[in-house]
Amino acid sequence: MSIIRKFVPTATLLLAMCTAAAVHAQEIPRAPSTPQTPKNWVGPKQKIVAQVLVDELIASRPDIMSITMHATPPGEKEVYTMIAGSFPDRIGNQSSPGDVITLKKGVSQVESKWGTPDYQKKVSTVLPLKDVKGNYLPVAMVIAFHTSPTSGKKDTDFLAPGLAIRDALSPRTPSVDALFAPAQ
Amino acid sequence: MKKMIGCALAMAAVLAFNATPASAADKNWTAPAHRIYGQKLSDDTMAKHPELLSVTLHGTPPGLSEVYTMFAGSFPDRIGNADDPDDIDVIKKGITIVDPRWKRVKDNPKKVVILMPMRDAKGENVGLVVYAFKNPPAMPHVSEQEIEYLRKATVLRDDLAKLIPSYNALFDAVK
Repeated sequence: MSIIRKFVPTATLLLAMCTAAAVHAQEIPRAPSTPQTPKNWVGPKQKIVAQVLVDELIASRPDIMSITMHATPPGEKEVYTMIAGSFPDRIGNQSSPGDVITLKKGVSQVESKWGTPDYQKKVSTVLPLKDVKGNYLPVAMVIAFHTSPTSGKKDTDFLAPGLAIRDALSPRTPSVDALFAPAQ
Repeated sequence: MKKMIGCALAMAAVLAFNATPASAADKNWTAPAHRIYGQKLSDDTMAKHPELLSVTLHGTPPGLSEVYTMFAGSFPDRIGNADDPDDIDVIKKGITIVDPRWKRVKDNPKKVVILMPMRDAKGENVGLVVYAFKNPPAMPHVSEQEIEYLRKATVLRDDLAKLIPSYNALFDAVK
């Protein structure tokens, strides 16, 4: 009994130390550009396929300001997070309610940024990714396009290129898990 | 047998009683007794566009604050229904949502829904207008279809805007 009495506090202390060490090792890095957005995921150290797709798009499309992808990482539940994007420091940022609506319901959105400093500077499309068969995946891709007060563009002028980009990706997005595969 | 029937009737009564307060709780506004201009615009839109299943107008009635409601539309019994978070997002942020109703198996009839910022004649965002289109194709979530539905809704919304001198005018009495 006395051995147990001695062992339990020691074991508890060790457990607490291990937990603290583990938490420290898993500490979620802050995104300096979005200090108010909570982090809810730590991405793998190796680049994943989703990031490769984002990098390729950004490099090839000067009309695009930014791209991000949002999904629930494998093994997680009810965790909606930025899994890849043109601002790598934002990876692991909790997804916005708008992003979650798209990945849950399969709706497409055009955000004019009305009421914000970005209004008439950029327009974002929030689109559900599709597999090659045309089925929606629970992944939201946010593409922000440059615009200006004099562009005269309507919502369809942003939705159309956004959907074209999304559809062109579909052969390379067969599943959610495929997006998390290590880049070759 | 009598007991079973009595029990069934009692359960039905309980269900009916419970349903009524829940429905009332979803209301956050009572429309005025007179017909408002927004309702006339809704009625006119429905009369001119048989391709529509419904049209509804949403926003904050004059004099209220942080009350988001359906104040006019083709379902008169739903007037005064509190808006859901998607509706409020459109009103506050001016976003457009194209909803092909992916895997919404309970939809009867089937539809495609476009939520977009309602605009006045000056082009200002002044709330939310929701268009539901009837008889969608078998694959409404194909990109070409989504763009076409958004194009149609944009034409309807922009035509509507020309008839809205101001947001408050939507609540004026009409004959």
